[in-house]
Amino acid sequence: MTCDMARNRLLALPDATRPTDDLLPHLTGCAACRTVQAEAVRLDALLRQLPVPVVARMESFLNELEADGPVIRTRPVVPSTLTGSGAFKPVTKWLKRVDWRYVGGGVAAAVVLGLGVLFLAPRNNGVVKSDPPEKSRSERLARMVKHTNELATTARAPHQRVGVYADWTADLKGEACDVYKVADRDDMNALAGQYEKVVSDGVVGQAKMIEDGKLTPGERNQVLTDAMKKLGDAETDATRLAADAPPNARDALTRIAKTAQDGRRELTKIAQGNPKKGQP
Amino acid sequence: MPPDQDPSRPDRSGTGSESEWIAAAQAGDRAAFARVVAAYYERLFRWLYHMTRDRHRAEDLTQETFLKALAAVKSFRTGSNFRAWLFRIGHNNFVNLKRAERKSPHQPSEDQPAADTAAGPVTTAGDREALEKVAQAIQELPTDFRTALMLKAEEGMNYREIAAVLKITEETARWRVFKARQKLVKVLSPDLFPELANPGSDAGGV
Repeated sequence: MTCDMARNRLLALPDATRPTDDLLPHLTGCAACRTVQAEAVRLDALLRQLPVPVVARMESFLNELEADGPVIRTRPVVPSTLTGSGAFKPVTKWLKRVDWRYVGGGVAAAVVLGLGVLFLAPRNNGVVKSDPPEKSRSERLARMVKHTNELATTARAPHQRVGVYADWTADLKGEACDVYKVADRDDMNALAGQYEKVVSDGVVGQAKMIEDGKLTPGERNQVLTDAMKKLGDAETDATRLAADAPPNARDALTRIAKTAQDGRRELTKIAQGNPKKGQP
Repeated sequence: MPPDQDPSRPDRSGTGSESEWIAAAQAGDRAAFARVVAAYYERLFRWLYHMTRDRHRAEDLTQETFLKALAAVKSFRTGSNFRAWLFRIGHNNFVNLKRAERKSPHQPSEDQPAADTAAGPVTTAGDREALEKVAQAIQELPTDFRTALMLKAEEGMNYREIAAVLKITEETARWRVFKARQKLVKVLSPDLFPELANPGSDAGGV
């Protein structure tokens, strides 16, 4: 074994303090390579000691995690086999398993958390929002916590959930608009699928469940109008971006635009179809 | 002590093993999950900091990772490698961040760890100087190499674990760690590693 070979082997060792059997004869007879071994050990030691800023927000984060609220009952999201791919697919899988017919307070919170993890995925807000990335990322975390808490404590009625789900559709649309130039086709299709799910089963589904007498006509119309506006914005943005989007994103953006359009039409029908509903 | 750490905070060191905490977290016990978080938070942060070079983004990524892990903890298969699973989520987050930044470049703050840094025991001025040089050199490494090397150096992961975290083959993991060390040695020699810098003479070779 030459010294060059021995030195390369030393650098490739999992632990330079434990040379393999085939290296030992060379090291025994070569003082220079023993020095190299010592230097390799020192390099690893220095790497372990590299200075890193102290964490600043662990305690508050732990407190948030332990805050009172419904137990998070999640469904499988990330494959434990370590063979999954992409950050979006797990959420898609999770959404597919949600039985939307029985969405209630606790499950709704879990839905939001499941979606929230998607929204927490890094993104810049060049299209929809103009906040600097650093600021927007912190705000997104705060917003996720805020929305989770809102659902846990206040969104107990369908009309409240319409608003929450409409917000999430806006975020999903924003996510798609942010990443459409760089995301692969599967990720974009996953986002479009999630968008469809939240619009059809979340916003429209909950809008259909608004009960008589719970809201005044004005309040009811306001809830539906707000949701329609968000869907209208999504339709406009997605249609505009789809026009010159890369091929891998065009179909997904078109699906989002179509879903938003269909959802808005459904809400319009709901708003017009039962004008006296909710009257006190 | 971290700035927001309260001396009267609940003791999260707890009793029991990591596998017991994870099992309890899978049953919906938030406190148990918090213990897991407390055990891994700084370790994950350190690794992510080396990848992002920005303390704020590293901590954002750390928290995102735990939120995703919380959402997914029930899917974690008991008996498999929780650390690799967790760091894998962290790596996915980092990759997503880089992907988003390609679209809209963000200038990292390029932290210069100084007063509020946490590092291993350093006893001499020479060590401090060496650490500064290594810290600078590590920043110059390609991200893929740095990522693999720091999993090896700081977490002591074997190549199989590194491969699982980074979704690469074990051989690629070994190659990246080797190349990272080789590049560091090249940059840091001859000051820190004079002998490594010298081509082998084979004078004493067997």
